[in-house]
Amino acid sequence: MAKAMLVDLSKCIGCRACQVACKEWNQNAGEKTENTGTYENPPDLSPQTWTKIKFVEQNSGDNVKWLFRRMMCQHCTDAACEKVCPPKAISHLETTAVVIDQEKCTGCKYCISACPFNVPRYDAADNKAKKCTLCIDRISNGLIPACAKVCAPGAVQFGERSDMVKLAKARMDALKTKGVNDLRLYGESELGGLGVMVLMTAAAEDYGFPDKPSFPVSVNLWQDYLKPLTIVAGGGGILAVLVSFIGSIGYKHKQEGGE
Amino acid sequence: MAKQPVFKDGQVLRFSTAARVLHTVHLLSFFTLLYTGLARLWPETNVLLGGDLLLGQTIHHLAAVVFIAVPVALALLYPRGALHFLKTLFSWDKDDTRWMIKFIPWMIRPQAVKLPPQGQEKAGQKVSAWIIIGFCLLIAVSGGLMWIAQFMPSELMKWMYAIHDVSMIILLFVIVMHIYMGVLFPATRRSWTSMITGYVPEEEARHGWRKWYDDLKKGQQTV
Ligand code: HEM
Ligand code: HEM
Repeated sequence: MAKAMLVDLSKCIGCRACQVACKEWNQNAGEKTENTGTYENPPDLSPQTWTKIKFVEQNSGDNVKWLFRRMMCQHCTDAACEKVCPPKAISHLETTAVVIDQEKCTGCKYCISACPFNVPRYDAADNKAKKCTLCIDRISNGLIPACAKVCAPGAVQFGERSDMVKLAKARMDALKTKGVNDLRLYGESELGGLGVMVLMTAAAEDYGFPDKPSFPVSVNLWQDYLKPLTIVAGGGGILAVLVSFIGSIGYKHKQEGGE
Repeated sequence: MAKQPVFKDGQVLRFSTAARVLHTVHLLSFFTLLYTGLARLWPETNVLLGGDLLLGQTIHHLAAVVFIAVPVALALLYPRGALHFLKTLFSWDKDDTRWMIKFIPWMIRPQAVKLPPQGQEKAGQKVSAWIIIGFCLLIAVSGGLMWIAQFMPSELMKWMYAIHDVSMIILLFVIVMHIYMGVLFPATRRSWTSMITGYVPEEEARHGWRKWYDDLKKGQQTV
């Protein structure tokens, strides 16, 4: 059965325990950063940082409101990274997790450019692409991902996909009765269903998510049309050569006394 | 480089040593790039490198450096030759137009078509050189960006791969025809020797590049 993660942003308090747990379980080193006047830290995902909370400040009159966004791999069912990977290092495991096989990765960066959510990061130290694995080494042993384990307010849940959808729907009904609008369960069907669904209390774009995430057109053009066109061009060239060669049978070059 | 005589043993100088070195190095790096590139699109064709995709990628990068550096270096070393080549490529007259109209019929039945006189580069050579140079620039720029994709906005990069592949496809077709013209097409198949020796027989030069040959006879140095 397909598993899924539910990130309920209505419950997220921006404590960043998920960031710490992720680093700890995956043994990713901490990074030295500079204070830029925000609680948000580190500034971006990196080869060593596979998840982070983005703090979005929203001004409404004199008040400032925070939106917390969980940045991590969304584990798409229709994963563009998987499609473009030449050594086929990226694959779906356990029916949900999209994982980069570090042995096979050659560091070509195709996945980095193809990702609709701008998630994978290139590690110059070992010439590999890195990203969240959905704690494949935990979930394949019956545990839940490290971030889900530590989330104190219960904003990160992991389980059967159908259960996660039910949980989200119930939560949305409860929030609605409390007068919270603008609710959306992001990833229920987007990109074939995201392995990490997000319950949002504001427009997707306010969080910095694409409103309608889609499989990149250029990736389809490249993979589905240009690849076969290469064979057409090569074959067409050879065909043109044949037509010309057969047509010129009997041609006498001037040097050989012709014209 | 030492000046070579324009006329020698009934032959005419067509390519300087620099031009021949450039062409040879370029075509070798081109085929290296083409093979290592195609072996990424179809990893199962990576047999020459024993299926080692990382090796193919590394060779692609090294060959790309040669592919870009050699023409740039030679253009800087021989600016006059490079300028002359460009000037020839961008000259165009009525005979060129007439030549282009007859190009496809000539390709299909060279014995039945009489072509108008041509300058140092035939109209078809000029057009093919525009295409080759244009798409080589495009493939070099897109490839260079792909190499440093982690620093580039992914919205831009999503298209660079398609551009790199489109350029590769067009170059593939043009180069297949280019090689055919140079080594197989009965009307021009001897021209590959000139890329090695630098010289073409006078008879050949007068036949194929009449205006160029006449200029040379009048003593105009054009190599
Ligand atoms: C001129 C400089 C060039 C540069 C800097 C360059 C660079 C690149 C880079 C960075 C890649 C991505 C994979 C990798 O990292 O190896 C690539 C892929 C590729 N290149 Fe090039 N390249 C160049 C020229 C060419 C040429 C002349 C051809 C063939 C005519 C070519 C054909 C390909 C192909 C077919 C791919 C695979 C694309 C795919 O996987 O869809 N490249 N190139
Ligand atoms: C085995 C492969 C090749 C052969 C036998 C070949 C042969 C030739 C010959 C004989 C010429 C001189 C034509 C003349 O007499 O004016 C020429 C010119 C030229 N070649 Fe190649 N060539 C090859 C590959 C390439 C490749 C891979 C490129 C580019 C990446 C290229 C680019 C050019 C250009 C730009 C010219 C000058 C313009 C023209 O005459 O079309 N060639 N080639």
